[in-house]
Amino acid sequence: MDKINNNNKKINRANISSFILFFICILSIGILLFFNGFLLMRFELPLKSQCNQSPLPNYDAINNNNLNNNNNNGCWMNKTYNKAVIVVIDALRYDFVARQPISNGSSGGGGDSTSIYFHNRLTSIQNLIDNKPENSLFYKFVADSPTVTMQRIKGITTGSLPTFIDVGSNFGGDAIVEDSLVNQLSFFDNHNNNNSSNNNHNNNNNKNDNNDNDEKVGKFRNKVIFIGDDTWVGLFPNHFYAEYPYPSFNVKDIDTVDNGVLEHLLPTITKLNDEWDVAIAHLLGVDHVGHTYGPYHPEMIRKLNQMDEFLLSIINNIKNDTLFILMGDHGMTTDGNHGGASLLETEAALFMYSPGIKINSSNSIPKEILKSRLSSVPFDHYDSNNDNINNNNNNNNNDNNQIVRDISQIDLVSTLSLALGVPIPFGNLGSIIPELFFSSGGENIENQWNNLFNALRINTFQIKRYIEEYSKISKEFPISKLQHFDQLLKTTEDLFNKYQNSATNTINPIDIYKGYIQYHQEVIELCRNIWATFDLFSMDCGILLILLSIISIIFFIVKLISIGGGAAGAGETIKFPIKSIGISIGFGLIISTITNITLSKMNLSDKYSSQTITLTIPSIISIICFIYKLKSIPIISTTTTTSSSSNLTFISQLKSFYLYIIKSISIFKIITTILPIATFILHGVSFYSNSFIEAQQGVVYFFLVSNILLLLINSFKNKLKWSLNDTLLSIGTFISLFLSSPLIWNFKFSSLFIPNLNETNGDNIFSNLFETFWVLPLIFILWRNIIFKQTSTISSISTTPLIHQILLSISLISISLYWYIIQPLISSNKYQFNWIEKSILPWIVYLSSIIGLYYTIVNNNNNNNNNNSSTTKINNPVEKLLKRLVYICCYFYLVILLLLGVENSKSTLLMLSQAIFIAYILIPTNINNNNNYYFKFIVLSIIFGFLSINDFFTSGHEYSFNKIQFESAFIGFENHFYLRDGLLVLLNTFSSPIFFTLSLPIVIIYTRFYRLLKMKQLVILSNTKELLEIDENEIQSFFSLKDLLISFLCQLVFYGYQTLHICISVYGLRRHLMVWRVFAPKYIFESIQLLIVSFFILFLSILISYFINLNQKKNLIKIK
Amino acid sequence: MANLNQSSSSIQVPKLSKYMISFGYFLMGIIVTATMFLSNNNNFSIVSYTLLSEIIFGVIISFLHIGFSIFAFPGNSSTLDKINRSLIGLSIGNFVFYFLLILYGAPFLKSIHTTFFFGFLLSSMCCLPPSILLGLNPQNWKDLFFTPNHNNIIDTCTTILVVFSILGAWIGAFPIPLDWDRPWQQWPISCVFGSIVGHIFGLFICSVYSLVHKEKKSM
Repeated sequence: MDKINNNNKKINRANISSFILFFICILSIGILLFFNGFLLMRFELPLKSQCNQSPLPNYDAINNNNLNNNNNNGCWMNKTYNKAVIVVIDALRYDFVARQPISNGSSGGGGDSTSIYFHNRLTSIQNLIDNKPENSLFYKFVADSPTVTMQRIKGITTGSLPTFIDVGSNFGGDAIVEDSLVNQLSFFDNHNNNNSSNNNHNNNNNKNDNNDNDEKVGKFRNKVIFIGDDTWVGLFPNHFYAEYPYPSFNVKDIDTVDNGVLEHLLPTITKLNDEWDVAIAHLLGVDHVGHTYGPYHPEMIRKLNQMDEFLLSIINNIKNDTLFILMGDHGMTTDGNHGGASLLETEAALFMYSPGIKINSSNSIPKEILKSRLSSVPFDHYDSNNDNINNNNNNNNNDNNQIVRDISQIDLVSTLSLALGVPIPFGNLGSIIPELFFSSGGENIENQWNNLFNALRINTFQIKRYIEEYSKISKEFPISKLQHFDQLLKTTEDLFNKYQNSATNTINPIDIYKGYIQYHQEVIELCRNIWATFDLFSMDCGILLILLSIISIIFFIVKLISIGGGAAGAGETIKFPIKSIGISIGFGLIISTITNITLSKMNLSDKYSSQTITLTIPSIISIICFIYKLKSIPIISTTTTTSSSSNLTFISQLKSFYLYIIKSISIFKIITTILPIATFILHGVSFYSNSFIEAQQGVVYFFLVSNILLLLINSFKNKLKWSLNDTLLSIGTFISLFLSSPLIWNFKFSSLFIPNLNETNGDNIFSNLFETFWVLPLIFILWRNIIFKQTSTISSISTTPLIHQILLSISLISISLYWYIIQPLISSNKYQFNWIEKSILPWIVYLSSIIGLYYTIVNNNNNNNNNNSSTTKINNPVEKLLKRLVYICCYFYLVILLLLGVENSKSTLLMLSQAIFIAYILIPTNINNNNNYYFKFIVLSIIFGFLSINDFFTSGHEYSFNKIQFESAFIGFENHFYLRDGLLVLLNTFSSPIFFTLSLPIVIIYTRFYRLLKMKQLVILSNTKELLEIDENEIQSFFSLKDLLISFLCQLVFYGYQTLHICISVYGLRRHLMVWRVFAPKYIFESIQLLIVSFFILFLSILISYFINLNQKKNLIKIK
Repeated sequence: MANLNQSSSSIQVPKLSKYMISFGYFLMGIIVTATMFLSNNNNFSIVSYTLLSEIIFGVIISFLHIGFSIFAFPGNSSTLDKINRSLIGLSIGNFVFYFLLILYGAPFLKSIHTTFFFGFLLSSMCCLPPSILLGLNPQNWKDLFFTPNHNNIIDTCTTILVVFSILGAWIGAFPIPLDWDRPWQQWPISCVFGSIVGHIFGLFICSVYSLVHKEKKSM
């Protein structure tokens, strides 16, 4: 009989890891699917176009010689213009510029009627369109989403499609690293940006210094001068010959940026010819009026009138060899916002004017070219706008015979590059604007076609070169597609050669033009599908799996709690249904295979990813099987039979009174349980508001204080006598909480005593000492006096093993020496340490932690073999397990303490003190309230979850890539090793979730078992028989590890619930990317946090099962 | 302990019937509601004059509760004893709530006055009625809030008032991080609104509860 029981116990012990592993796998698959569907990545190529390397095929070697000879007149093509003035009016929508019909009774109101606020205000531009049609071009400038300024500037200057994460060499920074128009305009070939660190903001400083001026002229191919929105200076550092940036973040500031442009642009373009080549101005007033007041406001009238005068002054002052460009980077909605993908947001205006050179030979250019859609305009935009185009065509045909044209914003780069005589940026995917090159070819139609084809072929082969280079580092382009592109281009090239060599005009040049444009269209459509389209099916499946796993965990927790209610059920443990799960996974794989085959036959495999289906269907079926298995397990109910010999009247009165008490008590319990769960739910719901996410530190701290106050109130209720120690404990908890408050956590106390803190090294060392010298001794005191002493039993003489004391002390000393001696000297650069001297102290900490962990896991102490009494029977395994977990947590804490550094050491101390205070608050004093345990576990998981988030912020982190403390990867190491770097950075960033996950089982075991048994020793003399029965019950409850399983699952629910809500919020807001930069980084951090917490929960469950198994083997040996 | 409760309840003769108690709570609710509407409609709103509103509402609510306790609260204490208890409870509660508000994250350097007098307002709602009823013995407070055996209507109604006032202030903090840019979304204006609304709600609930409550049969 005993052997059978032992076998059952062994089987039961393996369950806790199996359940946790099962849930973690489902959660991870859900996160993986959502990740693949949501985060679209495009790799930035570091290559740049070269002036002396034309993308045209090799048989144009003769032309290359001509290009080299004509280098001063342009690179790949001869210059059409010597100068350019580029004016970006932010949020300039198409209809702000296009002439609208005048209606007599119109008084605004939106819709299709003409508005007096923003229509027909820019009369200077409209007059040019009407009076000089051959020198003017006017387009709808269609933007890809996200319609935010930084992404739009990137598209306008690089010609590449925007994605939400461009993986490049400056991950996390703002500067554009890949090739761009500004880079090509400013710098010669083989120019290194890092060499031009000297940059004068005002050109006036060098007027009197001819030598510096000559040296500076040699660095720049063109003198590009920028005025306006300072976003450009961040995107293009050290690129401009002169720059006048103005801050752009305050949308209520209507005039600062615009006044700066008005002040500087006209003097710049009226300077001598050799003082400037290209002037770029970015004005923000129209955008800020839209954000602050909306477009239907008198302030918009004032602003557009100001813009009209400004534009007129520029037009009147540019020379014949200058190209003037006016554009908007995006539109605005009816309430003045932007960021999404609606027509009002994506339709900006583009106007080009050339006073001396024709750019729009409307009489001779074929209508087929004008009617054909350029490659880059998205399909959905074109189709949805088709009716409007037809209507506009009818109206304009009656008036001006002008066709409304749509071009994409990425088409501007190639056009400007060739017109200004610089290479097209390497990553450009846009097409040239045909009117400009056709018209500027001269008066002869043959020369016009030749000029157009010359530009078009350069454009085409540049795109081909980019596709080939990109395919080398990414396998996202199907080979069949690439072969199709090559075949298409070859056909068009053959047609062009025939046209060029044929004496007779048998080939229509329009067909050649269409061939090249078709190549452009198909290439960019493929790129757009890969880089800028969400996989909604994978996102749906990911959210579904995360939701199902959370539901199944909650269902399982409820089942565990209901089983554990009675005394007889304490030993009953649910087995993990491994066979059923395996069969269901196999069955799911069969179904997914059949589904994939069916979908591929129906040509739906592009829409429904086979990988997604293969991962989703087995997971769903296994979850359903798991829930079904749970339902089939009966709940053991404990029914106490009442003896019928008692007095009925007395029993009825006693029962009614007892029920009244039970009802009232349960109401109070529900109140103290509902509020923590309500804060948990509200915290998830707050993820749908960007305001709450930006204020999340305050929100989390608010909920944390509420929960801890409830915990103290509950403790006050349960204590039979409120003693002085309890008061001190409460005050300590409040102080520890207050020091991690958002108000005060980064407050420097040394600033109270050192009024003027200088930047000298001595003051820095002194400041660090004053701020944090008390941290390490306090940690030592907390460890020595509170943790290790409390884990010792009264009857036992065993203390902390000597090796742990040595390792922990050495580590603390090493950390203090590293913080206060080595690191300040390294940062001051006074002493030259070699890498051994820099790294020896961190290595001591790392090695001590590894040795300590190894010793904790492997060591088997036999100190307690001598005590065989009944009390030590339960004490030994509890005490040993508790000590091992404490040691493991201490060693991880040491590494965290080292990685977070001296600046965050206060926060690290607060983590430790908060965990200790909560453990003491949760110590029960009543023996009889058995039902209180599980609700306490739920509350504890919620509090530890909020604490980990709060301490995430107080340890210097935010949900932003710029705030990751990458220097922690180099503590103790010099060279790069990405796996180790990533490990150290993860330990640094997610230190508080790791610490509180490691602390959770310690607090559970301490409050659940150890203290209770400790008190029973005092009562051992009174009633031995009853005590033995309770002991037996506690032994079974302890070995089943049910309490730890419930706590771990509650933690998984806490973090999984957060990840679920952030996934749902980014799913809903995926096209409203004004708030993208708030939600997307938080999504990434939440997902990684959930995976890390899952890993540590699995790690702890395996270790705990291993320790229990070791102890059980010992007992078996004793019995034998 | 139970015997003491029984003997005290048997000795005490209720001063007022449950109808009068219900009317008293209802009248207090009406007065506070009317004060709130009058102050907001006469350009003397809580938004514009936060500090003064906190003081005025705190004083009004304190006087209402003191007046009600003189007529309706059980026990043999004299009027002077009740007033002394109320002032002591109000003072201690003011400081306790002030420190709790600081703990919750209220800015303690920028708007120290409004935070302190919001503590005064909360104290008049949550500490003054129990202190008149119970005095300063912690065990009595523990029995009131945690023991289900309430001896009379006043005990339960006092608990309801405290819970709803604190819950209203707690919920009033939710709009503060939002970016709606309303003038009342500042510390502590939304919490003042929340606590007063919660208190009014609690008063009306007490009024209904007094009518519904059935006298417990004597054992």
